[in-house]
Amino acid sequence: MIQLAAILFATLFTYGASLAAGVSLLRLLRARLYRSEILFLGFVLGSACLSLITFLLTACSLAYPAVFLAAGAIVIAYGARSRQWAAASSTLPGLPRGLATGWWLVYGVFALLYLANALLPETSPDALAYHVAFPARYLQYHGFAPIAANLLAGMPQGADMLFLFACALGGFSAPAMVHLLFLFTLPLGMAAYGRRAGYPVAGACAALLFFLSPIAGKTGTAAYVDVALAAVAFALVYALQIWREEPQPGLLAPLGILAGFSFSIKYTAFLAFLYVLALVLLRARRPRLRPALIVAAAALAFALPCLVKNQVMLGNPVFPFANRLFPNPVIQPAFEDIISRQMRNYGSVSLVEIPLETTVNGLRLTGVVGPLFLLAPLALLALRRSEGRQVLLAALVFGLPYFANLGTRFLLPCLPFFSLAMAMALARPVWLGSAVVLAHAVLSYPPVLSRYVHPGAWRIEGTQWAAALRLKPEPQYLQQTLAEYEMSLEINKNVPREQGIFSLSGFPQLYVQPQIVLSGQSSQANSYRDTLLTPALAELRPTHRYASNFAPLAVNAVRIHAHVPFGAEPWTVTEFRVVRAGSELPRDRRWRLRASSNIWETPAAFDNNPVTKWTAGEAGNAPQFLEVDFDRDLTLDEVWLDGPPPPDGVVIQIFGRGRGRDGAWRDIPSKISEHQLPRLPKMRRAAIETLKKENIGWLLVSDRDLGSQDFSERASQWGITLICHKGRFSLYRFD
Amino acid sequence: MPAQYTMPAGPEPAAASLPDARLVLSMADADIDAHIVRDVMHAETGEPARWTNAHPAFRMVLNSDVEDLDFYIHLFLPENTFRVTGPVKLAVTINGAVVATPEFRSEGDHEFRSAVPSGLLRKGEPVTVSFEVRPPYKSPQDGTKLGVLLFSIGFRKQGA
Repeated sequence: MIQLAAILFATLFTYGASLAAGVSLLRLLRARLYRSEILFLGFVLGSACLSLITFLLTACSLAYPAVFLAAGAIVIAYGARSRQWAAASSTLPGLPRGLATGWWLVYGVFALLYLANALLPETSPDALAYHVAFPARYLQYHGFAPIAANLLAGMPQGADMLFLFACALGGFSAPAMVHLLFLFTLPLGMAAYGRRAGYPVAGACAALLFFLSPIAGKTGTAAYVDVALAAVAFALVYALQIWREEPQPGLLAPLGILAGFSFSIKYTAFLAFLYVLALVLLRARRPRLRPALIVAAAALAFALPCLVKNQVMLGNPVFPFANRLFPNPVIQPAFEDIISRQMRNYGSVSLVEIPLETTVNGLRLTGVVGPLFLLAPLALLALRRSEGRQVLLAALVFGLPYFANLGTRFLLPCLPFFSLAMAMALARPVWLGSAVVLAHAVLSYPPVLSRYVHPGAWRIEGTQWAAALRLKPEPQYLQQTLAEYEMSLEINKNVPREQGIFSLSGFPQLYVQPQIVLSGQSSQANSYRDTLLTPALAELRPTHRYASNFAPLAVNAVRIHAHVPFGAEPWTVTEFRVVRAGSELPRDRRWRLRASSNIWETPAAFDNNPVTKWTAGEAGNAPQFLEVDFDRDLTLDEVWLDGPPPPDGVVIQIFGRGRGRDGAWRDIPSKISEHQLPRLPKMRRAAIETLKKENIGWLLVSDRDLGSQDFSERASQWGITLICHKGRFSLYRFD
Repeated sequence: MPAQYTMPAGPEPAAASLPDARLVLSMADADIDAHIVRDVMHAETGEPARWTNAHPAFRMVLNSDVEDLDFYIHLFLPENTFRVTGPVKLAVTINGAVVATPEFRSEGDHEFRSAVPSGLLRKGEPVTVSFEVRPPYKSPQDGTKLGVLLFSIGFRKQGA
């Protein structure tokens, strides 16, 4: 019961601090709003402020529960001074009583369903991987602890900062409850918007179309960020609408804050900034630049912290994207391309399949918005009215990024606007709107939903009140629900917190105290994986020598060019050796190395280690090269490139540069021969020794991982010891 | 120039001996060649998976209890061959009797298990497990028929 009380306290405290911060800000800016608008915009705006406060405290290594408690208490105490101002504000015209009662009834039933799910111990994949796992690590280290070799480490953390605040006070289940606050609040904002715009019934219907949508319910009850982003996007459009009706200078800063905050929740929301800036420039009275500057400054204040953190910690402000512009050791451009392609081809769903997948089926795009949204084309009828056109423009702005990542939940930021546009078309006569909402409620109710969606669709399947209220102990629930939970406990028992674990496949981080480097999460992690699997997989082993023989030549540098065709495997070099009269010239510490890409791995081609390699980061554009500058003239007659067989279609050229000439590279005419290299003994041990140098001391293997059998049968050859086996996972310690 | 790595000294330790009573043959097993009857392509010892041809067969002796066993296979269908073959069906036989005909309708990793009819296996006696791949992938280069990329095959206790 204490645990439940802590979760509820953390949720209410986060809500209170957010609302207090937002209402105080609106009062300071002398915004003239209706009471329901103050409640909605105040909460969303205040959550941006609380997120920024949490970020700054964490950046100052002050991520302690007591500090967050004190900060929240100060904000709430200050906000109490604005209570009377908010209470004195006028109210919007309400719905007819009968409709209002029905609305609250439907809202209440689903709110209870959602509450029961949000209270459950956290098991949702993205929360376990980063939305709660990283805040938990920050709490552990009281600041922004580095997250090793993980593409998720640089994702914007605007919402995650609120999760951190709540997590500090209420544990790992509190973040989902904070996300639930956005799910509960957004429909109230939508209803208020409809009332202000003169479409009270449409607003109320739209609010429920969004709120009851299965994907909104599932996402909003987990520690994800998509419903939060939807709420911020809606608040932004709402505030913009008020400003257009009545250009209050006090609304400009909130517009900027909301645009900046939306970007700090998800990069794809950068369009919000352009959208608000364009409309302010277009609609502002002269001088136009001043309002735009206020908006831009406020937006930057809320967007910059995340960019600065990424630049400082990861060397790329928009990590994990734009790695060509901001090269860094964790993500190679080629890896980024693969990830982007996977996101665009989510579930191998074609564009024509999207409508049915996102409304009825729900397996391949993980979740459904509900079959009623098959009526979305009717939203175009809203184009007849100015309000409808504004709403549809917002739907377009927040819907465009969807095509970069096709999962159903990525529709959430534009769903409130589509709901409003649809409701504007369907809510007259009132009975039609009510019937549509009732049908949506029935079709979204879990037992009905399960009858038509794919059994594997991501959705709420019911309630588990015993676990939600902690009548069933949390560890018991987690053991039954999370296949990796038992192994997580074993890891915490056996692995010292400061030692790194490498996992060959995905594993949830949240319940694990030491850091796990997950294969597949970055180019760096994939390079560790290749090191580990090189002894076991022929396609990674240096089985091939490409020898280029030429007349003895004095050069001070040698460069190898490789033209790798588009679509081919990347060019890989395990060792680059220079040779005279059949013997390798000993490497000298004065030699300087260069590469066309992936410069961090260049030393791996010159370290005499058969399990490390340099891999070209790009294919198909300019030729890739690897170069060694001897710092003096050396006479050589051969160059050896050892590695896996080169990719099909690759063309390799050798260039030399002599001292005292014009410093230009000259093609060296050479005779090519290719040889098979024998397998080296003790490569398994070499792989483990190499990983140890990267501060990795443990290996986590699933029975399904490549090489799992080999680790088990040849543990002594690897130099590893099996510590435990739980479920399908084995934990090995490096000897 | 990085520090030069020196390979670990001394002889390679021996791999742990395989359990006598094992039920599953893994392609990474050190003695896998001794269990292959036909149609499995050669690979270096320790490789986790091997390509089969169209009619691979394996022989093993079950030294443990043979009651309540499932036939078990773990295989992989690469995207480039699946694109050509489409869904792949296996006709699995144990000691000559067809016991299962699973169909794999997607590329990627697949595990399949199916109960073995009682009386088909006898403790301590050799058992031949084979399967036919329909359709196999025909290599455009040399016409070789490739079946599946096989990780492991054999038996598992029911419910385990």
